Amino acid sequence: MSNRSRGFSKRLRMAAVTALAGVALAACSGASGGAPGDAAAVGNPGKPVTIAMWSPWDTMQPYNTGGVYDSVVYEQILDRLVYLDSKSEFKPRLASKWEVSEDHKTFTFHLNEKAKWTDGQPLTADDVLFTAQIVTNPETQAKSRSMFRYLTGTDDSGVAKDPNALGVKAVDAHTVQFSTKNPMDETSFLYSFALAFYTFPKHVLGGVAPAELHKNDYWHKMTPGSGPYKWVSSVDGQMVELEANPDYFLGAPSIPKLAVRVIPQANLTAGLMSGDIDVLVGFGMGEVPLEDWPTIQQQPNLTAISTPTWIFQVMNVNTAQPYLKDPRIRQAISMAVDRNVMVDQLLKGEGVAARGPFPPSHPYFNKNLPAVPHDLEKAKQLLKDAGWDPNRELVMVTPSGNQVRERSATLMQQDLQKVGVKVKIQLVDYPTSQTMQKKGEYDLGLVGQTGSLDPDAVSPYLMPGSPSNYTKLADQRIGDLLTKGRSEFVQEKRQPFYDQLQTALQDQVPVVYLYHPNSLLAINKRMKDVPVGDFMWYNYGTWMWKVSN
Amino acid sequence: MTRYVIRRILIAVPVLLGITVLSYLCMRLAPGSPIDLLVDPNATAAEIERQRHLLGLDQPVVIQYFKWLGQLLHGELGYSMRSSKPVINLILARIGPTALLAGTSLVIAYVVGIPLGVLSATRAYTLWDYGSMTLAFLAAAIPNFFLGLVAIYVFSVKLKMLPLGGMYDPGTRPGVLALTTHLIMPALVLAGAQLGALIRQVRSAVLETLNEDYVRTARAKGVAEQKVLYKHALRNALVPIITLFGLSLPFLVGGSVVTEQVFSWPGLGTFMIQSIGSRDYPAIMGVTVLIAIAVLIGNLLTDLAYGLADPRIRYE
Repeated sequence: MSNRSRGFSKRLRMAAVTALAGVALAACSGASGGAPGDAAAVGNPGKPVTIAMWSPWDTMQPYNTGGVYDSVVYEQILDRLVYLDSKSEFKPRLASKWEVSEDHKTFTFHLNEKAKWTDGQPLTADDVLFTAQIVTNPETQAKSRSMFRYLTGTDDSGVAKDPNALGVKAVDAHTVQFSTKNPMDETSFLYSFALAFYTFPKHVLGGVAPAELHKNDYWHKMTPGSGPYKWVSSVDGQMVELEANPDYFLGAPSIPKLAVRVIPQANLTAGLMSGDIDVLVGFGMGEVPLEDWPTIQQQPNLTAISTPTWIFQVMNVNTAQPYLKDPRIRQAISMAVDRNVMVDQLLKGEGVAARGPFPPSHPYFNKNLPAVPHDLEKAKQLLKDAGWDPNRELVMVTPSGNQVRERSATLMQQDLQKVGVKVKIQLVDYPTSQTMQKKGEYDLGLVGQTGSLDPDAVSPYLMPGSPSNYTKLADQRIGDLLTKGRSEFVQEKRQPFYDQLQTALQDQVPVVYLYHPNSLLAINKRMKDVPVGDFMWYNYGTWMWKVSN
Repeated sequence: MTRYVIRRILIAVPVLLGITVLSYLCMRLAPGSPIDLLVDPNATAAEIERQRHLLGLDQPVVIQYFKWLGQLLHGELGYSMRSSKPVINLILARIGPTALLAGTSLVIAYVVGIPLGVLSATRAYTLWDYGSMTLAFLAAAIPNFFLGLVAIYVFSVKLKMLPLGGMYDPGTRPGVLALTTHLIMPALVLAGAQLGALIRQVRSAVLETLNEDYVRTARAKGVAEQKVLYKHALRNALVPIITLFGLSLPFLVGGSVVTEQVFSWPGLGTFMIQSIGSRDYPAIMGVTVLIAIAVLIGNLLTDLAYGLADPRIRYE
């Protein structure tokens, strides 16, 4: 017996040794198969500053991406024309200054004369012109080029049949002129166009056929760039490592190494606490989960920052359904929803109840717009007047992934039950929810939308006949107000139309506006001069960041 | 034997074809469309149509399938709709990390699981048995993500002994030591997930053979207990263990979605989830084909291994 047990323990020991050998062996083969470089582990000289977000980038081509995660990386490598800060003020980036013509149809940008690519070539107006031409080419795969629709020579999709007719002119090596179809408000043009305009290197991509642009190797390494940081290496879908561009024209960054990492939502808190993450990008792209917020606030190594955002969570109402056609029914639904409970309980106070698409801090917010009353009696009366069938059950399509939003669905289900509207929640993944709402295969549909400084950004969701108008409401008055608001180009003249629009939306209720959540960010205390508020516009200003060890 | 292998490979071709047809259909029947996710809200109907055309989504699904199949026969998996990169490159970049993680965890699971299962069987209904059975049940019952998060909290946040996730830290180059420290937590967590089933499987298989007549005969002949156990019992208990191992081969490729996600491991599991989340058809199909091939190879190897373990099983 004792003999047997000794034999066994010996075998177990053998087993343990084999296991370790297996790990080591596997590790060796993995390392040799990985990126080239030093075989031995290097220590950690000058630990890079790590930025974290919770989803990966996709194409890195600024005009061909379906998401916003790419911008965290390419904003470091390429340059946009202007920078937008948290006070809604535009500041120089590639353009040092700009002016608007009398008729508000010509926008002239003077490029920073010190701007150059990291291979030493100067960045000139030719690069800007080239970028505009290749992106608007009909052959180019560019899923998000609609911003070019403002320019002359393009169709409503931002496609230019004739590159020479495109409203972009290189006046001289450092001056570019954009011509717009209609007069435009300076803020709108800067926000919707200049802020989103990134310049490509013509001397690298000039020979590429437009139909092949999206497959080009440039998007794998983005070298040369012109921005504050240079691409060093990446692990696809997980991490990009960057190093400072010492010749950056707005000043050399003081942090030598930067890393952008994709870290799952569940681990952000752990990463912040352990010091693996220095900066969260926030604004719906990487935030502290609400339930961890008190913990994060108590951490000695972290600064917790709750910033109001212009993001809004909404519930679309499918007005094409005959039983939801009567605006009184939609008003009743909006009235039955208790937004204050949502903000106090679900958001733990980190947000504000929405009255319409614009939060109170938005320049186009209608100051006389009342809050939507939470009035169960009135809601019941409206439903009764409109002849609501209490046996009908509405389907509430809810995309999974945002816990607060998922819980808000349950809350609204209970609220609506109180006024006699039965709701069935259908929890589906995000792509399914998008397609169902787009096709009109729903009654109520939850979705989140990013805010915009340009009030016209709401129009695709509300304009009659627009593919993104999931509510299918074809209200002529709303359409007119949107068109008129867009065609004026001074805020004082635009404001009345948007004021009326906000009132009309409370009257028609194609969309039940729910809440504007705060962005819950945290940064490591070793960081300084991080303009967190500017992150709302996907400007990170990394060249201004400082770090102390 | 050779003829058997060739026949099996020939049969595998129509099976693989069938798998691609079914998975293509299932994928396309699922609601959601890449276009709805990729095109920006301001795009006009005309622009949406143009982008659909550029991605080839405007054609009938059957035509799209055959186009995809044609590409596959030329050894191409097409371009990812989400990232515009060749799917084959995206897969190749991730297959190494996945195989490394899954392989290490398999080794750990088998090296720990088989001895514990045998121990459990030979000392059935003793403390040894109860101990390893408790371990087995715990391993099977604790969800992977929970174990992963607890491990991260304890070892990364509190003790600061091990890194949070990923394959190497920013600012360092991959090396054996760095890789090992990154591998420990996910590999152990993943091994834990397999351990439960394995210990119980080994235990019941060994227990069963220990009650066989030939074992009793061997003991009656006076063969040493060690020899009885390893020559007679364990060898006969191998068949179900081989089956289990064969089933876990595809896992080397498919990886563990949950563990990879929790530890930000840059592998195929995470990639598959991201691809499904964006309805990236070429990428989903690429990974599916890869896993299907792994399953077919795994099954073939399992069948061949049966013959090695049990000479009574012969393939002609």
